[in-house]
Amino acid sequence: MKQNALTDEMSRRRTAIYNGLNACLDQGAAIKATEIWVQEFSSKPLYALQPFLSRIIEALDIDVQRSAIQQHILNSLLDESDHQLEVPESARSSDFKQEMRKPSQKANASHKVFTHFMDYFLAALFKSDSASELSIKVYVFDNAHRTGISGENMDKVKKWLSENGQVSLISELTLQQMQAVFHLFYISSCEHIGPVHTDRLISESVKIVEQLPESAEFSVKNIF
Amino acid sequence: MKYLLLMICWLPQVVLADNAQLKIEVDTVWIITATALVFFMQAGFALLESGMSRSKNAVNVVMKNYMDVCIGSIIFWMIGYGLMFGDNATGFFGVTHFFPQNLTDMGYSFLLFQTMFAATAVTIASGAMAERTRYHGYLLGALVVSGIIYPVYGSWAWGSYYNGEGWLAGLGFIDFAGSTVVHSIGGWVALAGIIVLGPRLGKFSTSGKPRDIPGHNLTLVALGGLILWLGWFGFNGGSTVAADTSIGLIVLNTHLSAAAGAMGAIAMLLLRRQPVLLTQSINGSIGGLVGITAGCATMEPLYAMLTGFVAGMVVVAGARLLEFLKLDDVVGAVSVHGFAGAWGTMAAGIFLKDNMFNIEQMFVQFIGVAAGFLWAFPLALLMYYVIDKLIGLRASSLDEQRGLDYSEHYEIGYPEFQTELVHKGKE
Repeated sequence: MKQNALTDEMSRRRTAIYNGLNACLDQGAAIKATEIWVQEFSSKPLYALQPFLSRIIEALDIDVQRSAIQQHILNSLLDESDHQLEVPESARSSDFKQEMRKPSQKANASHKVFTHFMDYFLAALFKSDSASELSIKVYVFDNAHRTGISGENMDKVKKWLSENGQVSLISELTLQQMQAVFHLFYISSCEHIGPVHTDRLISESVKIVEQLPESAEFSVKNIF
Repeated sequence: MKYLLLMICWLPQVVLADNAQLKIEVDTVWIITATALVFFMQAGFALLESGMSRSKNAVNVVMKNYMDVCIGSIIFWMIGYGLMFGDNATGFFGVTHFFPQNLTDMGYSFLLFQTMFAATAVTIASGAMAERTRYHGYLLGALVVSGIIYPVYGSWAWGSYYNGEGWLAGLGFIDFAGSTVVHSIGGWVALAGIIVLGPRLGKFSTSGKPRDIPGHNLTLVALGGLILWLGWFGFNGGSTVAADTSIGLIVLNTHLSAAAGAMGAIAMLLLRRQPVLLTQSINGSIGGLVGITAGCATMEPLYAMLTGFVAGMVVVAGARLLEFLKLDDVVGAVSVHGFAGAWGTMAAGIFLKDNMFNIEQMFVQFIGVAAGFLWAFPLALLMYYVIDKLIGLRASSLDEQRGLDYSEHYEIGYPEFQTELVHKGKE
């Protein structure tokens, strides 16, 4: 089910990129450039546009202004109408399914997003209320057994917490465990600095983390 | 000459008969109009309570209000009306007119009007218990309130519409449109609810200091307050249950008291050197409306204003008292409906037209207020406690974090900010 949804999304992007290119290049160049995107860039985050532009300008010797191509592609990507041209058969010869990220890469993305989010959130939290830092940590330590994390991984989580994120947070956490770890911090944060301030810190941290390339693969909001 | 004599004898009878029929028709039109106004108050409650809640709970609050009308109306028709207005030989509850059918035309109008009152009493608790109450547990409570708690007390003060008399009515208890019958009862139920639930996550700091958790849309709060104010003209004015010339004074008193209520709240805030908040001002107005509901037909306008002004002060002081007791009332319902309702019922005895400061009447009023508390509060406390044990009343902290819109309904009030949650919830 998810695989189908992902394929649909990739097809939509391919159509959008072809239409964007077709608006400023001749059709032959647009088809070739689309093939390059499918083969080399479809597995990358949506907005890895600059490397793609560099690649096609170099490969196809395009003399159209780079910013113009970028603008056309962006407009096309944002266009949700169904008036876009179908991608010609020749540009569909490469199958991007094989290029898609493997599950482990996806897991890496979620781990990275989670780690970054927690780092930003906790840094902001402890900065805003340094006096409560110890109490918050003690609460999480005391209730960590509620997260369903196994003993060894639990020790790693505690170590990560006690060393203020200097140690990398384990990558074996499942989504449910990430949610449970965050929830403990949420409860404790609400108790110490209040729900309004907590929500504000979360919102600010989300904005920062959403800039990460991995956020295209794994939305930070899944953690909540 | 013969015809002239016949006309003189016959015409007055025709006119009288026509007048009687016309009176019934006009009464009916007024009652149904007032019913529509009271029904419109549900929109006011929904907007006010939703606006005072955080955006992640907006749908939950509105759903509770919506279902309060549905549940309250059906249960009241099934058993509430019979308990409240059926034949009441003992003075404690009615025993006829359950599942009422084949009523008179006026009887149907009365039933419809009273159904709206029941729905109002039920919905008062929803705002106080917002943001951490499980939906089904709440609805079960609403069922008991509209089916038993509200109508039984109502039978004491207003019963019966048919035969017999409630024991409070027999004492001479004055509660014209329900400061206690509707509002205090709802307020005491809300008080029990927030005690069983406990405060929202982070409402009180670890040192016990209360924190402000502002609602997500104060414009909705203001609109809700104004709609309630409008609806109250039908609530109090319609309680004549007849198109009567006294309606002018009743509605004037209602209006003045609401205005004075806001002034009283502001005065209290200034006295306490607190910022003058929109939410408190609106709650002051509603406190004024609740306060005047008992005595709006039996008070001069000056005293209606005084009643409203004091009610506004009571609302602000009551909210502080609840915070001091570590009770979390999201919209201030206990203070607005419970405390201001109790004050208003006392004021109806204190400022009774042509018989002010009558100790005997004031004592009767006190008995009525105390009886309302002693009936509704312990019963609601037991009810919510049992519901909590049986099916769960308090939402989990995870649900509270995510918002009840997501956890209870899978329907988000503001999907622009929570798209991922919607999709995840519906998978």
